[in-house]
Amino acid sequence: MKRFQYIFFLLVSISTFSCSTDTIHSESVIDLGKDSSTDFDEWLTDNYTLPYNICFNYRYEDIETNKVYNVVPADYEKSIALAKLIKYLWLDAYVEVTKQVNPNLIHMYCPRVIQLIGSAAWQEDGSFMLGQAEGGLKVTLYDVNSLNLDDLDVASMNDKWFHTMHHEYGHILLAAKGYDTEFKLITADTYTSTGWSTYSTTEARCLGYVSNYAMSSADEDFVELTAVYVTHSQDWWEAMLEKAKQTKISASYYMAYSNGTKEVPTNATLKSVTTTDSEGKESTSYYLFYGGDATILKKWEMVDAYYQKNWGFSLSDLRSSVLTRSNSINTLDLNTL
Amino acid sequence: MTKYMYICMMILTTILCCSCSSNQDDIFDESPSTRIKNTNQKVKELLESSSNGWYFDLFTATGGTNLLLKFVDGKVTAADYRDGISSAESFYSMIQNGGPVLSFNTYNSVIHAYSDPVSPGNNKGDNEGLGADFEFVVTSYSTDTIELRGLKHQRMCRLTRYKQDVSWETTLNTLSTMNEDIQAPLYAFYSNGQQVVKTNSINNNVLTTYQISGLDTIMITVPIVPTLDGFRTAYPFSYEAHDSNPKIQHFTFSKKMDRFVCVDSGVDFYIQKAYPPLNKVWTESTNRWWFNVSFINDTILKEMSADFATLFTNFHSTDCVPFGEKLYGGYMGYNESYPNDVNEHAFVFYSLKSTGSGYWKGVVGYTCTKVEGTNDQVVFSKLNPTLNKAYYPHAQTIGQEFVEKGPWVITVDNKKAPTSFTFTSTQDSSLYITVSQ
Repeated sequence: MKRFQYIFFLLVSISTFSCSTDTIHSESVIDLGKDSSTDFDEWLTDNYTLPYNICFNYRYEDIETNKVYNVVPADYEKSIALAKLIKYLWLDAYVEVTKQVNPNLIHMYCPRVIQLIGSAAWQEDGSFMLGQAEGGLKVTLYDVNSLNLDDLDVASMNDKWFHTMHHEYGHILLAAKGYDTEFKLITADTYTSTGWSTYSTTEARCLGYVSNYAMSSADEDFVELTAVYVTHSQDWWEAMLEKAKQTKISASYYMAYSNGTKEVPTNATLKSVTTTDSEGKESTSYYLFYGGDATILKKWEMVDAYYQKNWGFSLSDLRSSVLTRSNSINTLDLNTL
Repeated sequence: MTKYMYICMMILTTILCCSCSSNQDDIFDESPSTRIKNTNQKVKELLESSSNGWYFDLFTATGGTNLLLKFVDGKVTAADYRDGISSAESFYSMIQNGGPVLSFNTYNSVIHAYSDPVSPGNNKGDNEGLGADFEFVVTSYSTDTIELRGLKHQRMCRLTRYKQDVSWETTLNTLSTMNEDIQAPLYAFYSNGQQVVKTNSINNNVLTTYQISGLDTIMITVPIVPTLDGFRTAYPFSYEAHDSNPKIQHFTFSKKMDRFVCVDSGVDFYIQKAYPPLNKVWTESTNRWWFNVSFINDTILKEMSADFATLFTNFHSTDCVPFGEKLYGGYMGYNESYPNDVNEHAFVFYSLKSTGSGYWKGVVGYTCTKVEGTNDQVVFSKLNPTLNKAYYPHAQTIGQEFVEKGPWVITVDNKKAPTSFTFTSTQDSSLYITVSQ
C-alpha cells in the first residue's frame, strides 16, 4: 500500500515541474518607435529628461491623446519654441524660488509627461479645450500651432498654456502635502462641481473666486488662485479685486430690486452711487455689492501661507520670477537649440 | 482506500501522458512585436526607396484628393494642388499601434490640412474639419503599392510609386486640371446604354447614385479621387443588387465627348456631364450657400448691396445684441435639418451665444421656382419660419426681401462648377447679393 503512496507522490512531484521550458527573449517586445533622433530630441533629453525626468512629447502620440477629439500634431519649429518657453517661464521660475530652501522640489514633484498637440480640442458646438491634465502625471497642451513666433503675446500664452501648467503643478504639490481644511469652509456653500460653467467670471469673482472654474471644488479653487495670481501683475490683481467688490446693474434692475419685483441675492446688498463730473453734472450708477474681494484675499493669504510653510517659497516670490521672465522673453532665441 | 488510490493514479497517469506529449509549434518564427518592428523597417526602406516619391490617394469625409509625398531620412515632403501648388516638410515615423502604422506625427501644412479640426475657409472648429487621417495602418505592401487604412476614420488610402519622368509640378497641374474636369453642374449616368433614372451627382468628389432593386431604392455614395487620365472610386460599385463582384471603379475622361467612361472589364457604363440652365442648377442644388456676413470679431458684410447690408446690420443689432449674442452668419439653400424641419430649402442664421460658446439657430423656409421662359431667373415664395421665429424676426425680413424684390437674375462664378451664385433683382439692378459654398 505504501508503495502506491510513494508512486502517487512521485507522480505529483513530476507533474508540478513538467512544463517549465519557457525561455525569455533577450529583446523587449516593447518598441518605442522612436526611429530617428533629431537635435531637438537631444536638447529635450538634456533639458527635460535627464535633469527632471520629464518626457516631453512634441510628436503626436495616439496613446497620449484624448481620442474624443480630432486634432493634428504640433509644428516642429513651434514645439522647439514652446519647449524653451515652458522651461524658461515655468520650470526655471520654480527652480529659482526653491533652489535655496528646497532644491529638489522640481526633481521630486513634476508632471512626468508633457504632450504637445497642434490644434485646439474643438467640440461640436464650437467651444474648445486648450489644456488637460491627468492625475498630476501628464499635462497636454493644445493649440501649439497658433504660437506666433514673430509676435509673442505673454497674456495669450498664459491663457493657453502657462495658466494650465501652474494650475496642474499646484495639484501635484497639493497631492504631496495637504492644505488647511479651513480653506474649504470659506465658501463651502457655493462650490458646485457641475454648475460652475453657468457662472460668468465676473459673477464668480463677486462670490469670492478668481475664476468660474474655481467654483468646481475647493482643490480647484486653491490651484486656480495660484495660477491666476502668479501669471498676472499686481495692478491687474488689484483691478480684479476692485471689480469683485460689486457688479454694475442697470437702472431698471435697480428699480426691480428696490420694489421687490426682483429678489436681491442673499450675499449681496443693493446700492446706488451718485457722482458729479467737472461740469457739475450728476450721474448715478447702480450696484449689487458682494464683497468678493475680501473673500478672495482671505483665501489668497491661506494659499500663500501653504506654499511658505510646506514648500519654502511665497507666491509673491514666484510671481516676481514669472513676471520678470515674462518681460524678457523677447530676448530669448527660440529658433535655435 | 486502495481502490481510490488506483483511481487517482490512473487519472494522474492519464494527465501526465497528455500534458507534455508534444510542444506546440509556433506559427511564426518571431514574436508579433518583432514581426511588426521588422515590417516597419521594411516599409520605411520601401518608402525611402522611391527617389521621385509616391502618389498618395487620400480619402476624407468629403471625397478624395491626391498628394505627392517623398520620404527621406525620417522626413516627408508633401505637395498639393488644392489652393495652387504648395509643399511642406515635416517628420514621419513608422510606429507600432496594433500593427505597422505610418504616422505623420509632426505638423505638415499640406498633409494635416485635411485632418485639422478647423475646415479651410471656416473660422471656427467643429471637431471634424475635412475628416482625414494622418496615421495609417499598413494593410499590405509591394514594390510599387502600399495599401493603407486610416487609424481613426478607417478610410482606405493608397500610396503608389511615382515613376513618371516629369516634375511634380507638371503632375500636380495635370491632376488639378482633371479635378476641375470632373466638376459639372449636373451629370447623366448611363449603364448598358440606358440612363440611370434617379438623380445622380458628383459633389465635392463624392459620387452619388441609386441602385434600384425591386421596390427598393438604395443610395450608393462613393468617394472618388482624380487620376492622371480620369478618376477612380475608393471601391468598386454595381447596379446589381447583392452583387458579390462589383466592377465599376476606374474611369477615363473623354474630352471630345465630355464624359467619363468606365474602363473596367465587362462594364458598359459612362457618366455624361451636363450644363442645364442656371435657374435649374440653383433650384436643384442640394448644397448650403453662405452669405458673406459675420459680426463675431470684425464686422464682415461683403458681396451684397447696401440694402442687404442694412438688413443684416439690423438683424445683428436688434435680434442678437440685446441678448448678448452676435450674428455669426447664415446660409440659404438645402436645409441641413430637413426632414426633421419641414423646410427642404431655407434661410438659416446662426448667432453666437452670450457665453461665447455654442450657437443659436433660426430657420425660415422658402420655395424657389424657375421663371418660365428664362434660363437664369427665379422667384422666391411661401416663407415658412419654423425654428426660433420669435427670436429672429429679421430672418423673416430678409426672406421677405427675396420674395418682394424678385424675380432675380442668377449669375455664377464658374458655369462648369459654380461655387457662388449672385442674385440681382429685376426690379432694381442695384440690389444684389452673392452666396457661396
